[in-house]
Amino acid sequence: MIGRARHRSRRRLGLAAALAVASAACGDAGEVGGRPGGGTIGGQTEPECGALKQVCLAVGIDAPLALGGGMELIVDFRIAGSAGDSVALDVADPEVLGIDGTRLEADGPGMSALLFTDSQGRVLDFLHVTVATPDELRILAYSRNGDLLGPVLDHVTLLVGDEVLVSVEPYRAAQPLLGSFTLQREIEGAGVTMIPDAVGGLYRVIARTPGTSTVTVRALGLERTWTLEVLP
Amino acid sequence: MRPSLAIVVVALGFAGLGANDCDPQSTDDVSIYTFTAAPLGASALVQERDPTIPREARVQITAGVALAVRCWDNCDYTCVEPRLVSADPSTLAVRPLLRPGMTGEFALVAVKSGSTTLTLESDCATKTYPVEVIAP
Repeated sequence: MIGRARHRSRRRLGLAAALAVASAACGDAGEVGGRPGGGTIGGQTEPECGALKQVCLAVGIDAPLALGGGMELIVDFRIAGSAGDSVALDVADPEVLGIDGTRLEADGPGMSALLFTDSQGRVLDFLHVTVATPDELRILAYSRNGDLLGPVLDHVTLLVGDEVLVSVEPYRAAQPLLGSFTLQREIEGAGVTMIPDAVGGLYRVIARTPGTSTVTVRALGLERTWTLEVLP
Repeated sequence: MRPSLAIVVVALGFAGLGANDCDPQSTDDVSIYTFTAAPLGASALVQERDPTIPREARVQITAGVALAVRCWDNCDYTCVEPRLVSADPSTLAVRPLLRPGMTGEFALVAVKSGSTTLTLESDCATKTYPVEVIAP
């Protein structure tokens, strides 16, 4: 177990160094990975309510947050007979969760309560959130109207002019993890181009000229490559 | 004994009991009543003293967990202006809980692993719970 942890640690260091080089080379820093639209596409559409059902989040939290990622919170005040009061955010364990404005940051593995408080620090509600370390990046395909189609094949064949809409999402032991994060991407070969869609987290991969290209994405200390062959 | 004297003695006896206790069969007591649960895999145990088992009052809660609790006592049932204080808020914090029409409710927030005590006080009675915040 310790050996595996050390191995993973070394791999992460190596990837971190590679990531710094790629970032400098391709200049893609600042683009986002994770569920598209801040989790509004491809995930649970029901709101996630606190234990007391007085405060809910607009986007469901149906899985752990990916360590190193974060989630923009949209708070929904639900106390019958009261108009929405101003709600502040706080956490039980600051080593697991952090608050940056309205963004929840996954700072350490574990579980912590996320507290919704009023301006005087009184607790209105709370929700327990888990942070997990991802062990895989998956490239997922979406339809134009936002339906999740599934993971892309390792080797994909396209015709010139074809377009695939994808996102890059972290997984741990086959479970998708939530949150958005900085994504680096690199393309080898001129066959395809990959550009961010108008919706954050979605990318349009467009087949331009015949040939084979390799797309490499890096995030959260992980890397994934994807081979695309474009036919005339 | 003359009937009038007997009545006075009985009346004084009831008055004396009433001054010490609402329920003549039990001593005044105050308790923590939980109304939320810990998430899966975590612990949030509030145990009351039971001399018949025997069992002592204690709280055991996993770090990172928040728990909604209210005060209960056997004088007023809903405690009058209860106070719930943690000896070490950096280990277990106590925050007031705000719900419409409810009073005497608190959120226990387990911040980090360690030991402390929690003291609950109402007009009825006072009780101190040893607290253990355990690592996840």
